[in-house]
Amino acid sequence: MSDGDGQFGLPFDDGVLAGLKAYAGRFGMLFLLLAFNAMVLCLLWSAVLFPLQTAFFGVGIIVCVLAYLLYQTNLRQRLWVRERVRSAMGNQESLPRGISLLSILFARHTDAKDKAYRDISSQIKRITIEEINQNLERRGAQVKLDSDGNPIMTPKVKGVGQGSI
Amino acid sequence: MPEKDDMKARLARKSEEVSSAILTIVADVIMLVVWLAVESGFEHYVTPRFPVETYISRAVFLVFRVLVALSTLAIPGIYTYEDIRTMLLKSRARIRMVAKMEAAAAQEIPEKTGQEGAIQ
Repeated sequence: MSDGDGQFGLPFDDGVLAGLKAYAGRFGMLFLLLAFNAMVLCLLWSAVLFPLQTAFFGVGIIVCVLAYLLYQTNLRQRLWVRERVRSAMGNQESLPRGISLLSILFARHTDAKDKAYRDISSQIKRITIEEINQNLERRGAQVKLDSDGNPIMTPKVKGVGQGSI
Repeated sequence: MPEKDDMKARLARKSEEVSSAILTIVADVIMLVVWLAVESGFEHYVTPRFPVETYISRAVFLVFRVLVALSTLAIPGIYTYEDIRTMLLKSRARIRMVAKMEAAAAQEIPEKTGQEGAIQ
């Protein structure tokens, strides 16, 4: 609606090509909505003709979505812990590639990283600090989280068979 | 000659503005026509064939028809509204600019006449 000078402008003010591009976007939205409505209509039609099969299909889709969400939450939770451990150990290495969405979340920039921590920690409220600490302890990490969720180094404990005579 | 050039530039600017507005209106109308065509096709071909035997299916289908019509009308409606508002705001800004220029010109004239009087 507004052009570069901060004034109001119509789609064709910057030329025919710019206007056509703007209208391609608008028509794209309209056709996307129409396609979605057509999909819902098909589902409705099949629900009238084959109610049982459609119910199975619907339940299947819901189960798939739930499974995906659970997987995502679990993955984020694990990566969150790993990143915390890495930063506590002074390792600035970024997370592995291939997890594009999460690597954006876990950006190298400190502010972005802090924001990512806040976002994720608010998303996974179920996970308490104690649970994370237990998880870390089980994995043998020399780091723990304090009550604020900040990583703290734990002193190295010499165990049996580690050279103590 | 400078007056002629000025006139040409003004005409070019005006024709650019008018053609932009006309193209926008045409494109918005095409969007509305697409919506109308889809709706008419839906009502003429899909609705009579949809199996509405039970009360529930009839009610659900009616709700669906209303939702489809409103949701698909929303996109052309919103953009048409946006474009109309933009045209109105532009014309208002143009009127204000002309009024400001006229006011500035009216202020300049007495100043000039005052200066001329002082010189005489």
